[in-house]
Amino acid sequence: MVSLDYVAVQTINALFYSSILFLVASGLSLIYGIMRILNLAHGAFYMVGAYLAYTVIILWASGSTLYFLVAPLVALAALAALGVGVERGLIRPLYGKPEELQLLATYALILVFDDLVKMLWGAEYKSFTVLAGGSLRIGRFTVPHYFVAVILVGFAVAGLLWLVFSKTMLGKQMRATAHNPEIAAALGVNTDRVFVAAFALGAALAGLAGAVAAPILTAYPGMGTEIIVLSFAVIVIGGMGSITGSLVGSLIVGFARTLMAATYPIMEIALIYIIMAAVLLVKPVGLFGREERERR
Amino acid sequence: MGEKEGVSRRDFLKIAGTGIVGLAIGLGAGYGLGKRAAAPTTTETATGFPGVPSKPLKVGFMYFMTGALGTYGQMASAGLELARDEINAAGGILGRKVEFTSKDEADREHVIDNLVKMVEDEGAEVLIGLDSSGDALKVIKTIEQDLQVPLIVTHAATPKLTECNDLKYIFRVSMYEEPIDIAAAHLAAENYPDTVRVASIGPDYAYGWDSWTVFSTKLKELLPNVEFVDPIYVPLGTPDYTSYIDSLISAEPDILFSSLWGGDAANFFKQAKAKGLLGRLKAYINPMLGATDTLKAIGDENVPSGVDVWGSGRYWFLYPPHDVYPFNKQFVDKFRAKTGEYPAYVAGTSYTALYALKAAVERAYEELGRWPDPGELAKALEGLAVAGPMGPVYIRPDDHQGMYEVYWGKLVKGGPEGYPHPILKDLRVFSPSRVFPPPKTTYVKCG
Amino acid sequence: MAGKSFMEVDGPLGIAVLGAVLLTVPLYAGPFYTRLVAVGVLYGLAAVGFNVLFGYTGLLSFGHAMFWGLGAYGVAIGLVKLGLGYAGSFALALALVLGVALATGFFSLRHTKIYFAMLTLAFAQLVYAVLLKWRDVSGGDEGLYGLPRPLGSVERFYYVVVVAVLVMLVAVWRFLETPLGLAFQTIRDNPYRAEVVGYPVSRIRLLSYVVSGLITGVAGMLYSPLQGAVTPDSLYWTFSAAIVFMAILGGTRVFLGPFIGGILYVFIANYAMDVTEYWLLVMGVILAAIVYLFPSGVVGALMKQLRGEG
Repeated sequence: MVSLDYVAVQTINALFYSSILFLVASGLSLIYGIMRILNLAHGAFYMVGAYLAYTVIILWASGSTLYFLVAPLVALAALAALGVGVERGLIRPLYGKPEELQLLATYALILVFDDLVKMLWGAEYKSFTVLAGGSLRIGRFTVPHYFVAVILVGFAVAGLLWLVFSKTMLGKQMRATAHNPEIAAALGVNTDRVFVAAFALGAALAGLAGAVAAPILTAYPGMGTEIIVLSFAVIVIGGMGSITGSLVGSLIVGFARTLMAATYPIMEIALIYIIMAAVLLVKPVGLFGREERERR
Repeated sequence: MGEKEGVSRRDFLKIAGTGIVGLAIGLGAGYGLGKRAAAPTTTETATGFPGVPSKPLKVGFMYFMTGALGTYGQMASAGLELARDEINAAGGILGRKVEFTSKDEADREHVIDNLVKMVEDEGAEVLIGLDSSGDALKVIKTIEQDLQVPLIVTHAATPKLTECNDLKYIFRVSMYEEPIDIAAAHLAAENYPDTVRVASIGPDYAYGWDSWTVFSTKLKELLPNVEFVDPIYVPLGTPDYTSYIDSLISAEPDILFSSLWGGDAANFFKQAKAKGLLGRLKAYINPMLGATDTLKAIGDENVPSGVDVWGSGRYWFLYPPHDVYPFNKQFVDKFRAKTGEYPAYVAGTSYTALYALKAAVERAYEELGRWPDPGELAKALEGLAVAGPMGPVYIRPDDHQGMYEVYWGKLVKGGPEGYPHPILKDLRVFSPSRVFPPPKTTYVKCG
Repeated sequence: MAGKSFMEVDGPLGIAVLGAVLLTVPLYAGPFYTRLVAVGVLYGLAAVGFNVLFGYTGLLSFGHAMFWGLGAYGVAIGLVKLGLGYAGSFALALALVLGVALATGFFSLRHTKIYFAMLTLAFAQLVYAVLLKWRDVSGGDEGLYGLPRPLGSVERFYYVVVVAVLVMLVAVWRFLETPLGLAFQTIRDNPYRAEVVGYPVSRIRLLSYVVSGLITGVAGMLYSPLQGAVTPDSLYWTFSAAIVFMAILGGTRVFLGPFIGGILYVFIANYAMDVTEYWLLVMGVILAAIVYLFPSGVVGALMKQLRGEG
């Protein structure tokens, strides 16, 4: 009964889901790796990205392919700006403060953003462009082009992040800061600037994720609280602060979930956390994580 | 920290600390006290009806007002408001004006707390509502034992509510799911007698599980050779059905039964059409499709050809036909004048609920000569017959369940017929005697 | 701040005064507010449990809804599914909380600080996912309902809740005064030195985690009979965050701070819901105000004022 076309189409479904998870989790991991801040509001950034995409399509590009170019770019830019604002205004005063305050501050942001979204866009689900833009045939199955595009975006971002980190000056400064901010500062790295850049980049990635996910997954208040915990699982599996880890973790979670959805839905979510526990048992820092360093 | 000074300071702080605690509690309690004290001052002077308090009758309602299922609550509250305005314009219920207080059922953590609040804090004397079957079951104890005021359910459809519980205060005027699902099995057996494989996708809670149990059990009785694919259950508000749709395609069913509802039903339908699932079926059967808001979300452009799509609901705005039952036409016209839309079934049932309340109060008043207490009001709802847009509704005394006809209809584009959204045509109507199980019996396991 | 400062305010005397006030509530507050105070008292106990691990041992759990929810579900499963009666159901719930605390503690305590917080969150989500899907046992999305309430009415059960919570508070207080309890604070203040001095740090941390979970679990065990029902929301991670919120709101450096925080939380939320549909935003702003302006919590800030440090 399990035919090749079925396997192929479910693989694409899994890659699609992994791709969105990667965009969210890599930003979360990046922010943690460099700043040692666990940003609970990362899911809220994802949500805001989704709503911005919704607005773009309603205002300008209803149904046209232009949407697929404009909306993600708008979300990316807007969330980068929002990231700068949040880092400057809300996160910076908390550097060196106890982590529970950092966590609660970002949790407060979730509460505020969820209701702001309700005020601005209303509380009903925003479902739009369902699977528009043509599709592929795989045996008995139909795969929208859009799925393939999102998968490509995911891999392209992974490649770009790798390039930024290994080839550019900012990337080197980020790695140095992640390793030890005091030494990096002593070597002349402007760590303030690195922090704001990292936070903005992470927020932008979450916004991009929301924008590309919205046409398929719909936009609704509270959508961020679901993806954020799955992202935690991704970075615990992959290793905190590692982009490769986020990629591998996203693929593991995406495939585990799709496999279970197709075969044994009762375990759809539970399996993810069981894998996480297993990884912790074998390699506590995650598959690609480095030994944890206590700061503060 | 020096011990000597520490002792006295510690004592001081102890007192201060307990003072803070007392203050916090006192504030809370005082707030409560203030609210409470306000209530009894607004009491009773005669209204033209002896023994009837003059203060307005506060009715509390709760529906999903926001989220994926928010359109249900908007429609249901519009139905209630229409009934309230009519009743108040005609002098109220025994001279008492009807007022509403409401809470959002989408506030999942506070369903019980909010019902309690409406009754005990805001003075609601009767409750109406509830979309989710899970919520209806969850609040039984709260209503029957703690609050002891009538709750008229207008949507939540699990058989367990009325068939597995001995109820004093809870009633349901809306059709429940079992007769609709039994009718669906008859429909499938009569129209597709050579059906081999049947699949199902539904929401992952009482309503979804029970619908499938009833439909599949009845269908197996009628067509013993039918095979069932393992049913798929998804959480309420699932946005993305793609991998479920691909598993359904791979299972190659003849008939797909789906109890998804509201925005979920529309999302699934659109994705299933786009992914080519619908075109591979003989029939798609959804007992919740006959909701105008769902049909609006689906849109004419998504009505597929080459497959029979069947829908039902608790009430369909074109049945009973307007020419033979003008009550329905009047309701539809008034509802359109108020909202600009055709009424969804929840609007019809919520409208009926308020009129059932009015009829019960008047029935009790005739006997008692005064406003009934909650227990007497509940008694008067038993065996009541009330006219609703769906036809006459009889509230069976044995199980507190409203009875009326079940319909099923085929999905067609609404544009050519002059409607702004797809509609159901070619209606098949099933009489209550054919599809209602005897009271206190059900295909669903009560435990 | 030295360990002793914890105990300045709120020992048995504070609990006694609190108890006297709480026991009179049903006399004047009416059924709705009596119920609300009962919920607040249970939230408060849950936050006190959280604070045994956080304030006293220095480990930030972001998954305490798991213990609350397991307690609530344990009692409900015992009463509704297994027909065990109250004693049996409470024993079942305690065993459930204890077992899960030991298992998740074993994994989570391989880390500290933020990593620990994230692991507790993830494990709580695992328990949430299992209960959500294992519907023969848990009732799935609709949860379990129709739980009998001891003594019947809310007003009468209220006294059960308050007496049980007061007994728990005294017990926890006394436990924290024992050498073992004081070892929690030693580890919080300097785990490395504690290790060198010869404390079995990992085992003491596990003990603290389990004790903390049991306290929060007991609060959940009383909550489900109060409500007559239990749903998976009680295990979702946002409720874990709410528990942290309550603790910080009251103040984590004061024994009774989190308890008062729990009661305040319930009343603030109730009030915010009365005035606006955007009540979460109100809660968010209050939380931000606490974090940025009064990080020592309401009780902590008031005490600073009284000491003249403010």
